[in-house]
Amino acid sequence: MGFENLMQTAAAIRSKAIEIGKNEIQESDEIPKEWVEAWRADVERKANAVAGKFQPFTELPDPAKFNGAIAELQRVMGKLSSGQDTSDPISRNGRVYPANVAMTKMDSVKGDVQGWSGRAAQEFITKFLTPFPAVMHNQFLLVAALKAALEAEQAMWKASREDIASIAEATLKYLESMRGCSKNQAVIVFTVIASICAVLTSSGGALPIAITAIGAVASAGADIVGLESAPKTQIDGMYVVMVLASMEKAINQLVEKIMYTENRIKSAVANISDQIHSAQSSSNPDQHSFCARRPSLADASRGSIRHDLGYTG
Amino acid sequence: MPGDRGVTLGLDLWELYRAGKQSLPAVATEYYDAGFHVGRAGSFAEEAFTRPAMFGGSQGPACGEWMELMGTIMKFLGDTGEALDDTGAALVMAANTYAETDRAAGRELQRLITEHHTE
Repeated sequence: MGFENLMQTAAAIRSKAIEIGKNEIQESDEIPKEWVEAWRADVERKANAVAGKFQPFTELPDPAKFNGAIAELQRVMGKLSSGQDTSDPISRNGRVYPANVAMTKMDSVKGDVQGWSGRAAQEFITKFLTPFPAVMHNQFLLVAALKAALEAEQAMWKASREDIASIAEATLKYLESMRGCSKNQAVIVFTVIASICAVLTSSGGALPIAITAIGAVASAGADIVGLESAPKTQIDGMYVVMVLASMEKAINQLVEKIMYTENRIKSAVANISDQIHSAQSSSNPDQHSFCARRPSLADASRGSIRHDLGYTG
Repeated sequence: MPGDRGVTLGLDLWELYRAGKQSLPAVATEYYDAGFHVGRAGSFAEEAFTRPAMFGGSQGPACGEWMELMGTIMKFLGDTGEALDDTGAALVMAANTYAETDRAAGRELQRLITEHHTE
């Protein structure tokens, strides 16, 4: 049982469906032989189609395949960590990222250029060095959001695998119980809907400049859980064809739920990009929340450098 | 005294040189490295997003948006690294330019570079 044995469970469903379907109706005065044969042929046709319904799910993305990308982004967060507010602001799988000591070299740069009074030197100090820690922290938050989106995808596929396995198992159990007095009516809960909330926290804290953008990702998870509970469906039916129809309906619903959930992730990520673009266009052209503006000093030439730097001694 | 002025300017030039030669390039390297790892995350993610077409196309609806954001962040990191590097180069050029025109300051700069292994 479980996702790893999905196709074996599908094969067992087929066998059990044919076995039970063979004896569901018997030839009698009211039921001619052709009807019985047509019924059995219909059951067999639908039972033979079961494997094809489950097969595409065996190729669902492997949640573990997101680990590599997530680990890379964790390294980046470590690089961009200033030592303040360094716990992961979004992911519940988060951790604390100790300060990157190499970045502290920026502190000494300010002192090294302090004595230079030229326009370019002063601009370098006020528009590049002074906002640098805030910009770096916003970059840290952006990478956290990028990582959280992957963690949401990972959680979604993990839950999708569990949901499809539970549809298969519930169908088989129901078929196995059909000859008894009490049927194993099974309720399928689509855990995929709430899956992304498991990794995304609601960020109510006071984050700096990037708060609106980052909040978009966090609230995507919160919205889903806040607005609706995980939907459910049932596997049941008086006859085998009805049971298989309820199974197929559950599978189709699962596909819809996966699409719905992934579209929520897509919207949250798109919202962050929109927020970045709007922050860029509405902010002071000399300043940028997510990327330190290139100082004019960077483009100085031998001819201009004395004027650019000045010297007060 | 002219000699003192040369020593003072030499020290200022050395601080400029140190910022341009060591501090800014070191931080730029961190940024280039960060950008590299964001790019690697993109390569890994591209494969991770792959699924049968019935689940929203071969890579699904979120992949394109995620890649766009990834690209934006990579550009931010790359641009920041480049700005740090180019500014560093400008500071080194400045130190050398001043040193060429003030011999006393130039000698002091060279002494401090040697003493502090700032090459």
